[in-house]
Amino acid sequence: MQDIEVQLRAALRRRDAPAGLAGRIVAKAEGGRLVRSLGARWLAIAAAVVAMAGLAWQYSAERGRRLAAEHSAQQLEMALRMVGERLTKVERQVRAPQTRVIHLQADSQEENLQ
Amino acid sequence: MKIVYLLALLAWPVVAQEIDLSLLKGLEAKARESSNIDLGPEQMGLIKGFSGLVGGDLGDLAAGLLRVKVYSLEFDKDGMYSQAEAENLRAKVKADSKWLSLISVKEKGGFTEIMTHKGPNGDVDGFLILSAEARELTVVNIIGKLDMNKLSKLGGKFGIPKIEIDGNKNKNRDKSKDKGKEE
Repeated sequence: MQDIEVQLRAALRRRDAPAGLAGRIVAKAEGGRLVRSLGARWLAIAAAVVAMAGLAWQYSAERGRRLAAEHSAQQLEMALRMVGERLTKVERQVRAPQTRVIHLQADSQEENLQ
Repeated sequence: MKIVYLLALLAWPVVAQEIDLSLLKGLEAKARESSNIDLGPEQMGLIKGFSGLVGGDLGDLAAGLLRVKVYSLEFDKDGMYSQAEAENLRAKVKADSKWLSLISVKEKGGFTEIMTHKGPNGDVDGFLILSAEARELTVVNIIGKLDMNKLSKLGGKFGIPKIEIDGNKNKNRDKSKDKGKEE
């Protein structure tokens, strides 16, 4: 009976924690949080940079396409202007009496070819 | 090898309407001014895609076109190029029976030839203007469906001169006749 009491008292006796234990635990916990928060921050920054680069590339590509479309349209206008000028000139020539004109209908020419 | 033949067959209709301008390439050095435009399907697609930006009428017209080639040379003096070179090109085009001459105008020191290319379904899928003047040589080659009514709508815009299509003239005449009858 007495042995049990002695054993219990020995087991429940208050013991001081090893020196520096609390400091070590707090430092470890804060370090982990810091690493985690730093990692998340870098990830968010990287994601934002990638998203911004993507948007910039898309904007630049769209702008390039827009400029190419405008340039192509200008060239097409120039080509059509030439077509219009030639057609107008030919119309004038056809009406002029001194011009020798051979006017062939597509169907009749085809008949001739056959 | 079969694939090569298939690709060649697929490419043939486009090539047939496309004029080989290499015959005239040497003339560029003698010219005072030269303009060379070559718009392919990619550019036509862009014009169509940005029709809101470039103008709906132009976008509509571009929708039917596959390629537009313009080769224009201006010379300082008469006789700086040989008419025979232009004649050669005309003869080469005419050798293809699919090219039909619409109007051929002969004038002093030159000629103008307007031709259309007949597609497999009988519809016009190519257009050519070959204009050889004493000091100017112009070739306009359009591949695809050039809708003249759409072209006439562009007349007066973008510096394109107003073009009167016979059909439009007749329609206008009919309208004025109808008005006269109503009155």
